[in-house]
Amino acid sequence: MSAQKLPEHLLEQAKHLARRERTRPRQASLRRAISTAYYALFHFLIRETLRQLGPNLGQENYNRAYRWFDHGTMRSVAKAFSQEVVRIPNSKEVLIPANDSRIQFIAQHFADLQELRHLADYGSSAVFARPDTIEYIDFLDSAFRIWPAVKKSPEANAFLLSLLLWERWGKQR
Amino acid sequence: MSTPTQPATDTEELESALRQLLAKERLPDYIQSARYELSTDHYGDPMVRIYLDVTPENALILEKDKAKLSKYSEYKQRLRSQVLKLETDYFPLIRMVETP
Repeated sequence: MSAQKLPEHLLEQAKHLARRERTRPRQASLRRAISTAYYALFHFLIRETLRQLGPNLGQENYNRAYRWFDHGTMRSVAKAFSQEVVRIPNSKEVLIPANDSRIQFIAQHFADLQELRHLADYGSSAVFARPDTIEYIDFLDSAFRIWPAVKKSPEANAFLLSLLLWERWGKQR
Repeated sequence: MSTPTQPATDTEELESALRQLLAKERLPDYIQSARYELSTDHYGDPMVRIYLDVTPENALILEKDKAKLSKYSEYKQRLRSQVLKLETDYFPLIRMVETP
């Protein structure tokens, strides 16, 4: 598969950018670090979803499926999975009654990073603080490390499936 | 600070909780002050932006000291969870701001 290590390489790049200047960090470095960190998590979640749902896909179909993911849907899913009780979209019905805190944290960080990436790339007056940037990147680093322990949980399965089929949970028949 | 599109009870409850959570005496000592703003995210969905003000000196300490940064991370996580528990439509975004 092409670019299988892309999330890890993006994370490495984000770490480098966040600490690039020894003393006063340049806003350009912090903005690129945030944007790169978001894409590290974005590609990580897509890769992990496809590994679980289509482990034997050929390269061409893997690439096709990769394009099914959409930033907006992923944000809605991340916001819903940030909660302890995950509800089905446009409904009060419960999808996950007690979400795994590790999935909650990953979802919260995804939602945060997407908004921050938007600010970093388009917000002309946005100013980023280095400790905040490093904190997001440190979290991502630990999320990548804890993922193997959590990825087979029912909550992780529902989270990844939702990234593709979020609106379908509400389907009655 | 309320936006007209949200039910008043939603925003009242949220704002009252935020006033308590962000009261000076409840902030970690390296945070000078905190404020919030009810607004929208880049999709136009409700978002509460929480700003934590730190001095450049404290920002420098936090970025150099792993233990202190980890404490900040825990604080941010607790604050985020407390806001999320309210289950309003406002998703929280907590950011540090360097203020002289």
